[in-house]
Amino acid sequence: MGRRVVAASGTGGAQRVALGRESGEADDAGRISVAVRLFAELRERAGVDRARVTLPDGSPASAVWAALPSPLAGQAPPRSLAFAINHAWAHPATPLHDGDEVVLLLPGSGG
Amino acid sequence: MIRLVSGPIDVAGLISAVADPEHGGTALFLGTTRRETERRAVRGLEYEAYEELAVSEMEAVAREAERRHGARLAIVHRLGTVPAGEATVGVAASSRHRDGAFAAAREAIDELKARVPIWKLNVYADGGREWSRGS
Repeated sequence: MGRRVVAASGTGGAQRVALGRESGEADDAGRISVAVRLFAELRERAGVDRARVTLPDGSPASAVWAALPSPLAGQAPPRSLAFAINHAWAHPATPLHDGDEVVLLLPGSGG
Repeated sequence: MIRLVSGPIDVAGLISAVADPEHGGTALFLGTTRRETERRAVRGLEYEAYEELAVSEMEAVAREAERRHGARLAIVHRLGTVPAGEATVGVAASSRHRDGAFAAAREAIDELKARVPIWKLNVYADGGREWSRGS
C-alpha cells in the first residue's frame, strides 16, 4: 500500500486532551471557548485553518460562523454549510460545550 | 482496508485486501484525474481531507455496503497533488457472486462522493485554480 498518512484513531484523542487543558479559559460569565478548524475553500476564504472563538454558554454550532475571523464572519453563511463536533457530524442546532472542536464544512468533492 | 495515502494507490494491494475464498467475484473501481475538465486543460488535482472524519465516514460507507451486499470492501483515497492520468480513489469489492461485488463497489464510490469530507482543487495548465463544489 502507499504511505499511510492518517491513523484511523489516535490523533483526534490527543487533540481532545490538548483542548481539555485549555478549557479553563472559560470565564465565570458563562462563556465557552471552542476550537474551530477550516478546510479547503473555507480555509482559504478565512485565511486561517484554525481559530479559537469565545461564545455564550449553550451557543449552537451554527453560532460559530459569526464569530469567525473576518472576512468570513461578515458574509452570509453558505446554504450548504455543515458542522462536525469532536469528529462527528452534528446538527447546526447542537449546543456547544467548553473545549469542543468544531469543524465547518462545505460539501466534499472527493473521488 | 480503509486508507488515506499520500502516494500512488497500490491497486494490487487493494484487490488482495478483499480476497476471500468464499467470494467468486471481485469488482474494482478506480477514479482517475482527467486531462481536461470543462474544456480547460488540467495540470493536476490537489486533494485535502478532514482526515479524522474522512476515515470514520469511509469505514461507515464500507461497513454499510458490506452488510447490504454480503461483500468485503477496501477503499483508498489519495491526498495531496495528483498529476493528470493517475488514480485518486480506488474501491475494491468482493462478494459470492458478481452482482454483489459490482453493486457494493458502485454504492461505496457513490456514498464516498456524497458524504466523505475530502475536497478537490483543480489546478489548471494556465495557472488558474478552483475548488470543485460538492453537491
